[in-house]
Amino acid sequence: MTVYEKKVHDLCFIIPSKVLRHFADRVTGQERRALLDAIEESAHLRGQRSVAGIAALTSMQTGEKRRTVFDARGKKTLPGKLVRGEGDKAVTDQAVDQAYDGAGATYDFYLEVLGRKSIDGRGLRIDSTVHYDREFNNAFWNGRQMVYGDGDGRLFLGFTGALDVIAHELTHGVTQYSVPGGGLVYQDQSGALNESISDVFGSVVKQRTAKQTVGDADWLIGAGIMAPGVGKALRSMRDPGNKGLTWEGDDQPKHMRGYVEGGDVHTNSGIPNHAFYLAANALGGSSWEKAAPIWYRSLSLLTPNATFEDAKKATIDAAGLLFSKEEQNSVSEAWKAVGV
Amino acid sequence: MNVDSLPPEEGQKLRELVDAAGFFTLPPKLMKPAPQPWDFQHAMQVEDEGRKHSVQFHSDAAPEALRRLAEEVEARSSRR
Repeated sequence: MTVYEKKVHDLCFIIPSKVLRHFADRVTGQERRALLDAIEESAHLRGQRSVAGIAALTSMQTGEKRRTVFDARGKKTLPGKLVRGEGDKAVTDQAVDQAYDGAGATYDFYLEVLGRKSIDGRGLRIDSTVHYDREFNNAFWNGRQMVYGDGDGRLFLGFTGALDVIAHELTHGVTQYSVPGGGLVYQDQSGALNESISDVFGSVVKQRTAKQTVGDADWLIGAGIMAPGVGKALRSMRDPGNKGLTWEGDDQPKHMRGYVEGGDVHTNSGIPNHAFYLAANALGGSSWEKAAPIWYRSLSLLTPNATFEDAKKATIDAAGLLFSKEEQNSVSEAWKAVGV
Repeated sequence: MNVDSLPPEEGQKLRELVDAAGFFTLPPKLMKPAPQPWDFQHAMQVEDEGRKHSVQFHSDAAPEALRRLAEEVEARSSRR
């Protein structure tokens, strides 16, 4: 008897399985084992959290910004040792302070721009654990908290320094609470939308913190987390699939002509990502002024199995609710330009 | 994982878990209707005496016996 077993679909981890496997196929020995282990470990941890994650959330609501950062000290036990609480001074560990600041920037964006109190809209405390495992090549929201590895230093340099990564993962929680019916189903077009919404708000939080206009922004997701020579970023919203801007395995389409039936949600998200980029640039100014509120307002108009066509209609309707016909036209043209 | 190459007691345990799960009679997919980004998905294939069967499943949608089988296989894989 022979048994084959593997985890499929690396879900909700900033580094998808396909990226880790891409690099694992190109190395041997311990480095290959470490990359494959990262996929296995990530999935194992997800398995642990899938039952308890949502039930635990309601016990941590505070009504105001409340962040806690823990140090796993190279182990896999969560949350780890408490090292910084809300209002505490910065510490000497850069990863701790970056996780603290990144959660804060994300919280502030949702509150100050969109009037939303934390991930659940009711002030959920944001917990983060840094230094998870050793040389762990990933970061994720596990339904209860953020978890950050340090990266192996050869492929990935760490994840706490990338604000868009932090905001991306936290936004998966926002989506879950905002789309009626429990969020966007994480497969097919609804799954690609789920991923895109996290990229959209990940990028917008980064842009707002840097006080950028749409013209200033690089529109890259995960810039700086890959080692030099390995890649510059995970994805580009400006030009999905442009390997010169991102990394050698970037397979994102930017138009429905390139849509992959049954494809990875991180692949097909290139199409709605590019639609947001085009809309934001047509609307002008900074992305958090009109484009982000429109996209956020559209979440409550979606359903769990929403398609790109549904998202187009929802964002056009949202633009009409918040602004005027002019903004609706800009949004409509953006979706049309990507073939939706 | 070649069950026949395991120590006899361990191999027997895995065979019993495969039988308890009714693996060869399971539907090919046991998926949650609305998976979320943090859901956990397996792909498992068992070959035995000319029979081969594959099941793709979310942990939360799998029967208890199948979950136990997956946990045992994963535990052994991590020890190798």
